This record gives sequence, structure tokens and C-alpha cells, in this order.
Amino acid sequence: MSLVRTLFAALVCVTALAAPRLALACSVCSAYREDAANRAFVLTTIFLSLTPLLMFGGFGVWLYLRHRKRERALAVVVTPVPTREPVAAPRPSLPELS
Amino acid sequence: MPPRSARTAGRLRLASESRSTQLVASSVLGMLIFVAAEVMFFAGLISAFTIIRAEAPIWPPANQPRLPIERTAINTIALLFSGVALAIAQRAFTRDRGKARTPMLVAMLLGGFFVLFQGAEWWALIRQGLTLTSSSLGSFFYLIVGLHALHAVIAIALLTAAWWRLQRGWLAQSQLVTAAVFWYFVVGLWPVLYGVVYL
Repeated sequence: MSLVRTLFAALVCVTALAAPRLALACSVCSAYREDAANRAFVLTTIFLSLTPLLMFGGFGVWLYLRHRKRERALAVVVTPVPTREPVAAPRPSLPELS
Repeated sequence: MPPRSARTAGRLRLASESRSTQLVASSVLGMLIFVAAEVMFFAGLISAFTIIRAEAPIWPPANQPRLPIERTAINTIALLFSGVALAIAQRAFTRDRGKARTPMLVAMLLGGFFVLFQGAEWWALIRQGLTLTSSSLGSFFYLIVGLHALHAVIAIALLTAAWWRLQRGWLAQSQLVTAAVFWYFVVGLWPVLYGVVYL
């Protein structure tokens, strides 16, 4: 009984794995076709997916570098020049009481 | 509020820019967002063209003229040089504004040469029988290259406006960068279009 169950499960798995090749869910999923059109679909999908990511990623990196550069420039300007310790003013001497 | 002349507005912009703490000027950010949208628009056109080309049994279609690869390569070089000239102008602008005039003018003239050369090429192709309705090559060629030419004309107009302001001493750094971003987009896009459509 156990062997029958195992074989049935294996059959279900193999069928499930083979199913997408027949399903043809979309033009890009047509794995059985190995022609130029299919390759073009796959390439353009990758191209259209990556272009906005690269564009906005690049913009983010550029903005961060610009921000860091400005922060450094401001740090140079704001850094206080080391000065001597403030000297306490001498206390006014009280008039001596006779 | 009383109406301000262009001169006053230019001076106010120059004064406010020197005090600005913005990381990126609003006009430059706006142009970058617009260019990002345009990149995706052209990416869609390129993808459609690539698929149509891959599905065609014969490419270029029969009885259609061949695109002038060599002559357009010269035009491509002219456009790339105009981008270099604008980069030199931008560099000069930060040091001495007056020295930016000549390279900026060179960039505009090279851009004008590119558009006129493209127009002449179109005229020749139409006479040879390549039209919008003659084939899928014609449809995509005039759509993609025509839209790029339209962008080039708008970018030249922006550069001309910037140059005019520079002549009068009203040009702010952000205005130059805004125009330059659009021109770099036009220059950078063309080699991609040349590779996809012509080669």
C-alpha cells in the first residue's frame, strides 16, 4: 500500500512539473519554443524590468554621494578652530574692612 | 504683486540660488523625473521593435530600401561631439561664465546639424519608397527616429534659451543643468537607437 502511494505521489509530481510546458500561460512562458521571437520576448522583459530599477537605483546612489559630499564640505566649514581655554576673570577684590 | 521683468526674475533666481540649501534644484529634479519617464517610453518602443523584428521571416522586409548605416554613423559622431561640447561648457560655466558661450554654441550647432542631416536622410528614404505605411520597418523607423528628432529639436530650443540668458548674464546654474540633462538624454539615447534600428 505504501509503495502504491509513493508511486502515485511521484506521478503527481512529474505531471505537475511537466504541466507548465503545455500550459503556455503567457508569451514569455512558452518554454517549448526556442525561436528568435521567444528569445526577443525574454530579452525585452528583462530589459523593461531592469531599466527602471537601474535608473532609480543610480539616481539614489548619485543623491547619496551628493549628500555625503555636501556633509563633508559643511563639516569642514563648521569645525570650530581650537582656541585657548577661557581664562577666568579675576574676582574684584573686596574693600578691606577695618 | 507687480509684474517682474525677465531680467529681474533672472537676478532674483541667481541671488536665491547662491543661498539655497537644496541638494538638487527643483527644476533639475523635475527634468530628471521627466527624462526617466521618457526613457521608459523609448524602452517600450525599442522592445516592440525588437519583437517585431524577431518575428519577421525576412528583415529588412523585401522591396524596402536599406537604411544608410555609414552616413548615419557620421551623424552619430557629430551628436556625441555636441554632448562633449556641452560638458566643456558646463565645466567652463562654474569657473568663468563668459567662457561657456563658445562651447555651448558649438553644442547647439552640432545638434542643429544632426537634425538637418536626419531630415535630409528622411527625404531620401521617402523618395526611395520607405514610408510610414510601406512596411513595419518604415512604421517603426519613422516613429522611433522621428520621436527622437522631436526631442532633439526641443532640447536645442532649451539650449538656445539658456544661451540667450547666458549672453545677458541671467543664466543660473540650475537652468543650465536642466537644459543639459535633457540634451545628455537626447545624446545618450541616440547610439542605442542607432544600434537597434540601423544595425
